[in-house]
Amino acid sequence: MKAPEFDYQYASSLAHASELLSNAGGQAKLIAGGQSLLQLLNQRLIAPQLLVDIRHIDALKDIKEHEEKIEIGACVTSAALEDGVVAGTAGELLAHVASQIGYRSVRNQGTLGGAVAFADPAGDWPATMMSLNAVINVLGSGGEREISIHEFYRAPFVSVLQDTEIIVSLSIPKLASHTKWSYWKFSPTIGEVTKAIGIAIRDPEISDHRLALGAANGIPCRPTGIEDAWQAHNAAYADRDAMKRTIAALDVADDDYKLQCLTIAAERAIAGTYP
Amino acid sequence: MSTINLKINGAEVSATVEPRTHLADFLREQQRLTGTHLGCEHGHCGACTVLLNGEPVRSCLTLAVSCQGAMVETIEGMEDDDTMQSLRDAFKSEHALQCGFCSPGMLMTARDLVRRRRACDDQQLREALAGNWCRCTGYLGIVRAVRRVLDANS
Repeated sequence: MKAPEFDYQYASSLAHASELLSNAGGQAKLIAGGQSLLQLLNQRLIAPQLLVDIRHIDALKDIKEHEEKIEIGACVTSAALEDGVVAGTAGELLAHVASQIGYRSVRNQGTLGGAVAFADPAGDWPATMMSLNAVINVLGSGGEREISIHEFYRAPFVSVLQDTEIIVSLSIPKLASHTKWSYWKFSPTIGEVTKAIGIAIRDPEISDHRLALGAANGIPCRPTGIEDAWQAHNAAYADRDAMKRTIAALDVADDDYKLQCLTIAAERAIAGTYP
Repeated sequence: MSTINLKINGAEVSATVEPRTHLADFLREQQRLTGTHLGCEHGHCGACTVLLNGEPVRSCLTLAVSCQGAMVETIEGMEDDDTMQSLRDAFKSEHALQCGFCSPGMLMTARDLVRRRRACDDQQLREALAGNWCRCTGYLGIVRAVRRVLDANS
């Protein structure tokens, strides 16, 4: 199908984009890589009056390395992350996750900020950002604010982002070089619908054990019950039945199949951090 | 309507487009470059793959209006491209096309792969081609053809 009619504005700067959104009365959508948005438009699932194109804004493509965190511009593409534009252990994790997203021709355009904002529960980036304790830097008509990824999602495809707000960048706390990480995704066909995502991060020196699950029924989650049990166990934790009970109690699996997929994702992601 | 100026296969083009027109329709219907094929029109089949500023993209998931100042290359612009010539020869030798519908997109993706990655095993090769669907299911020949070019380059 063909997209419905809409107006298009090229935003020359962040301030310009912010102004266009403020004047649109909630009827505008931002477009960055457009890899999700164009799918929805072509299927006429959405009909915004105005698209504000922010992909060309240089300030959104910056990568800044601070002492304890890395700040990645919202319009950095998945292909750039795949090719290793972010240094360090977190950068290696990002590169691996990026390589598993869609196809290269989609990654060449799709952006990190766009995927986080789109809030697809089966998306790779929302769950990954949750595992990394990312902070989202947002610009709105009232100025800038920071939102923890753990406070960002409300429901599938719904976040706390306001109509007039723009994700400028994501700040990711660095991982120590000895940190082990593992990403396990179950997608029966490459680039198609994902059934389960598990991301585990383990820093043995500070006893940091993190697990994020994606492609659940609902928003991505950090099953703290499993994280705590894993930390207490302090070794390759593989109690599948206990994991399954914990995930079932979180109410993120609508049926046995989803529950099984998420349980296996948790188990394999954790196992992957003990190479 | 918006006016865009861009370069298509090396030639400067100025055109007026509706914002909702995607790059594939713009190329096919306004520029008469029908070598770019349209299959699913929502980013899955890969038939519409073209190069945007040198990188493969889905032209059905790209708005023509956003291509202001861009450089677009389609299969029609690949006549004198050495890598594409090797791929065309290999596709012919390995019988890597039947109906030909997927071939322009398949070749664009394959060209990017063999230029970007010097070495990859068969699994990686198949994963890299997974975003281009061949409904004749002639994948074996396609994989063999791309493998032939990769091996010749390494």
